[in-house]
Amino acid sequence: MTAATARRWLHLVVGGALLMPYFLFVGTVVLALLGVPDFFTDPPALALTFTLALPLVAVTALVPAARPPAVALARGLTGAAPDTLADGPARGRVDRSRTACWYVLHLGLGGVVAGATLAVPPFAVLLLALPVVRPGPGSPYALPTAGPALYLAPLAGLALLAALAGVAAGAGAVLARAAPVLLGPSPRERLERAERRAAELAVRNRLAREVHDSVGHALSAIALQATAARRLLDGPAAEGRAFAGEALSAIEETARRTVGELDAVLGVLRESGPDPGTAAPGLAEELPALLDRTRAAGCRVTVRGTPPPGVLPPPLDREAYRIVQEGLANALKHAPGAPVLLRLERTASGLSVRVAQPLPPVPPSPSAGGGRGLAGVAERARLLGGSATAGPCGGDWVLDVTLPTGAAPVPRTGEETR
Amino acid sequence: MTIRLVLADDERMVRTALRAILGAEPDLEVVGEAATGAEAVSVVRATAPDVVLMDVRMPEVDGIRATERVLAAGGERAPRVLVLTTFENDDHVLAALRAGAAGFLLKRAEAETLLHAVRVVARSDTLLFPSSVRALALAHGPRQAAEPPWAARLTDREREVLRLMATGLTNAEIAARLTVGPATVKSHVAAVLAKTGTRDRTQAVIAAYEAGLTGP
Repeated sequence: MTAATARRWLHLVVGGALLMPYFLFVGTVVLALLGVPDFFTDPPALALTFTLALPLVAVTALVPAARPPAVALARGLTGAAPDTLADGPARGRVDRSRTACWYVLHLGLGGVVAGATLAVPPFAVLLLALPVVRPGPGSPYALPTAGPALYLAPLAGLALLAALAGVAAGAGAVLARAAPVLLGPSPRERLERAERRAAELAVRNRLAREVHDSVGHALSAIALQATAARRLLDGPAAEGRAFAGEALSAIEETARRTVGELDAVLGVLRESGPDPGTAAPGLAEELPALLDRTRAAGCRVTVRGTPPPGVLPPPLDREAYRIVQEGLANALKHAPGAPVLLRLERTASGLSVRVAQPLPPVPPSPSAGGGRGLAGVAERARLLGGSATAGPCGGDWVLDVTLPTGAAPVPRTGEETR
Repeated sequence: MTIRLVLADDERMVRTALRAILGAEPDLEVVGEAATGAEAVSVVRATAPDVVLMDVRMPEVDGIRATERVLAAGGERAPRVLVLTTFENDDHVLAALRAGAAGFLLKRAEAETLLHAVRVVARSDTLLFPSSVRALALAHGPRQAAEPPWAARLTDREREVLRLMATGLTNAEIAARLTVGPATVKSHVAAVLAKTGTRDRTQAVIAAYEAGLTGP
């Protein structure tokens, strides 16, 4: 018996177990009405109970939430390819009916196979042992006690076991065939799945482009500058040294800016990762780790007023985290050594975020790529119904963001869903 | 004779580094710089260089269209275009070569490679980095099911010359290989360019790869 057949058998036994509550419920009524003591002595009562239990199964399986557990079981145990089964609850009459059909089929076949799995092996063992072990006088079974029939009994036992395995394998195969038909995605779900994949692909392509544009170009420029610097250091001294100095500062600046951009790009990669189980980080839980990372990068950050966890609504919490992340990354990019003050303040109408940093003696050059992060901050704040301003204020460079608490969750763009 | 160069790249850092490396060579002279494709076209018109180092991705007019315009404006006396790229695996590069660029160079290349590329492209009688051109043409070019009409018009000798061009041989080397005179090879090459409808060796070789004429 292959592992696949064994898993399908187990799937059927699970179906039998799921049938039990229905069976007992109907059975209690049937036994009382027919006035029979138990199923062992009355096969028709058994068949009636089984038949009446299945419609009950169908009715309860019409609940939309019935589909995900069935899909999970079928994926794990029937060997159906993951793509051929639908994700999520069944929506619409057709999908719910298909799910109900699946439950009837699974629990029906499962009930038969599970019952046989319980009953057949002990009886087969009894038949196998019959030539040497005689049943006592009170045995309920009409078994031969002498003659050639006694020696055919072990063969009958083996045949019973083989029949059980055959029925289980057959029923398992039926379920594996039926799973894509009854639990497969509807045309609408197929379309949605394709759209989701396209969106994921778009995010991946965008990331590839961003890495290409920012990191690839910057590293090339760095390599080229270093090449030039090394060659000129070997040449006429004064001129070469002057260029080498310029090249080194260009390399330094580019490397620093690029690491910031890489951080942002990889941030998107983490957010849009294929695992839907990992939620986007929120301020309440992730702020300490963010501060640790920023400090490890050589930035002295002072924090005032951390909002206690659970106070902010989750969407606001996540957006606030990203805004703080961008603000700190921006500060790190433009003046790596300067101290940063991060102030988080819960106001009557929402949350106020301020990232302040003394202006560097030489104003930062408006280099390519700079300011994209801040544009993102402004965009996020605007979507939440808040506002963002950034620029020199006194001797400091200040980013001020206010986010209203009452803001409705923002409909996300396609590539950010999940 | 010095080779006169124009540098077109939107990043100042790249231009200064290139200028430092190229300008230090006695036989090279940087006569102009441009930060966009459009600027490159006007700088080339004003300075009439021998070779343009052209970034393939630039804002507004990109390197591909700038290459087309530079070559169209210059006619017979147009400079040779050496395309600069960050990544070798870039379909823009092939597009630039199809547009008439004579070769391409990775920005992370070592200085010796850079200088070699500029000098080869200026000399114009051999293919720059034949194996890279082959890889690029095979990876990004459309595979044609049937031979294009021009393939039938090539003589056997011209096909042979085209194959040897693709391996990166100079005219003199091809002449030695075929035991004919250099002038004969030159006329074969001219015939190949005319029949394939291409303006230089690089374009002809790419056309040959895409037509499957040079073997798999």
